[in-house]
Amino acid sequence: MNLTEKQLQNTIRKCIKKDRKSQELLFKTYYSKMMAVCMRYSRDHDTAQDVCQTGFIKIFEKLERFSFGGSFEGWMRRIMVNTAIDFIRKSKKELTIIEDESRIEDDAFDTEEDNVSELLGIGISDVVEAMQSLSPAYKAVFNLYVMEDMSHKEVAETLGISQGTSKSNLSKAKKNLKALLKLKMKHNE
Amino acid sequence: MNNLDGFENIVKDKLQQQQYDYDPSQWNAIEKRLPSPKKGLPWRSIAAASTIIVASIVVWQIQKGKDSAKIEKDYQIRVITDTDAVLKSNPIQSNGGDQLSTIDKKNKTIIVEDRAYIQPVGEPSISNSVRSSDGLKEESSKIHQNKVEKLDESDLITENAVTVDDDIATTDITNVKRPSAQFTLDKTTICAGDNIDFELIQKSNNTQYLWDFGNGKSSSEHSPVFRYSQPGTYYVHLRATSTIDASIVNVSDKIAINVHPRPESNFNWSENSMSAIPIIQFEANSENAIAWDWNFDNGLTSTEKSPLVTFRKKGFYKIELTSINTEGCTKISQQQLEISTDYNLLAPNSFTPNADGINDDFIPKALDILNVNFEMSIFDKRGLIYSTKSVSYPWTGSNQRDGGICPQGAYVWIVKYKDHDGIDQIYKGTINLLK
Repeated sequence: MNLTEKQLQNTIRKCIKKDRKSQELLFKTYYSKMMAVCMRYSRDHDTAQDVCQTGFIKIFEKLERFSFGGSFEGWMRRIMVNTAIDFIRKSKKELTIIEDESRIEDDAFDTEEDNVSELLGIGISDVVEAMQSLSPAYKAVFNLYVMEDMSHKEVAETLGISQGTSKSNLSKAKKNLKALLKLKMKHNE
Repeated sequence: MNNLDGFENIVKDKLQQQQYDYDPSQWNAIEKRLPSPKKGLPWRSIAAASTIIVASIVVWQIQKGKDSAKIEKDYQIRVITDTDAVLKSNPIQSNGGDQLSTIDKKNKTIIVEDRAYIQPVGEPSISNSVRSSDGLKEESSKIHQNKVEKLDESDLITENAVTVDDDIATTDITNVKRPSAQFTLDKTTICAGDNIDFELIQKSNNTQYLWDFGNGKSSSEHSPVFRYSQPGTYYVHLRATSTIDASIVNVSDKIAINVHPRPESNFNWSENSMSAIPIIQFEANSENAIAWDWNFDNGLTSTEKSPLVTFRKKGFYKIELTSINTEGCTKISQQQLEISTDYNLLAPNSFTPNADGINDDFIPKALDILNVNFEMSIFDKRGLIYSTKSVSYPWTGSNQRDGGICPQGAYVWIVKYKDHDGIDQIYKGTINLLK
């Protein structure tokens, strides 16, 4: 479902006036996209729904402050991302932890060629699942850097960690993610 | 823009293709948490009709307030909190407002309050006793008490007035605006030790805020974060007082916060010394828990109460158990486990295929004990030279690729099998062939 620019502006104005039907329309329109954001920050589907609900409530509350200048979807996504990070932060004080051990025994893959192109064929849901099973600290950094295109400086500021931690968590996140995805590929063979 | 590598690009691309079907139940859940719409409720007309009465009551309150601010404050608190109580028992509510009751009970994130504009009027017209100080205080509060009771009868009306546009109430405009005491909170049910974010909806200037968290603690921040460490039910309210005129006060409804207890989370472990394979048996002993989440710090996790785990590398492991109780509250406990020897399927590191009856072939010993369907592959520098699926066919130094006999040297072995839980296990090592 897509709204034209004009319909969108109209809907936003009505939402500011707390019109239920318009709020529902806005929710319907962006549910899939926002849920996709929430899924990759959460450990499971239920948590993602929780984040998504809370995020939308914040969006409705803050709608008055949206200036029509920028991208509305981008604005919504920022709120969603912040909500998701708040959730991680509240559930576990883990954002700063650098885990010293690799979570996956990846020795076994040493003999195989480290070629990522084989991953091109992997299923979307496998990637989402692998993403969800990363530890919160890794997940947050990977998402902010890769998906939100933040610099390490911005990631560090957002999560309240050092730039060094951001960098090392990113590389460990990638290592674990890669190992998880390869395992999944093997399962599927 | 970050320069993403091939792997990052693949993951990004995949994640961006995620799609989720619309789920109407999600909207229902959100709708319950949203503030009530300002207009269009069926009882609006009743509310409008009764606003004039409310307005006059408010004016009366303020007149008194000018003389005796302190008493007035208490008085106002009572008005609003009592409103809440009356609402729940008032029969009008059941016909007049299906919607009202829904909002009142389920929508706990937003608190509605009276936002009528009021004007302090110059001449006090009631009760001379109010004017005097300490000596007469008792008497004056008694009078207030009576008034409060009277007011109870029209409490529902007061509540309804909230939804009316301000135009009726503002006919008599106004130099001091009553500050809003509406607030939101992110949740009303938490586990002991969790924080709740309270957030003022509309911050007014010249206003002092006082949060009462219902457990003897308070805060004067605009939007405090408060941690409840003890289980129980607490009633929170916010009082907003104008710093220009202390008689102008607004108090929110009381909101119940349920703080659930956390489970215990303890565990111990034992090693099965009978088996040659080092298996650690973990045991959660947290009685009031119903679910467990283990992290063994070696890439493995489990949700069993008594999981069995094999650690491959010697070293220290930070074992973490999260126990979960029926309320969904969790508690995490950690202990350090030391593993003193490496485990790699009990494979030897060399063998001598010379038909002398000693160490003539190679197969990791554990495969004998494990009784699983496995596949062992042996590699030299150029690739696979031998593979077997049975302990009856160990590697004797032959080369299946060219049918020859392998020379002395180091070879790599890889064993893959599915364990009893159906999880792929892969072991890898080096074996020296000695002549």
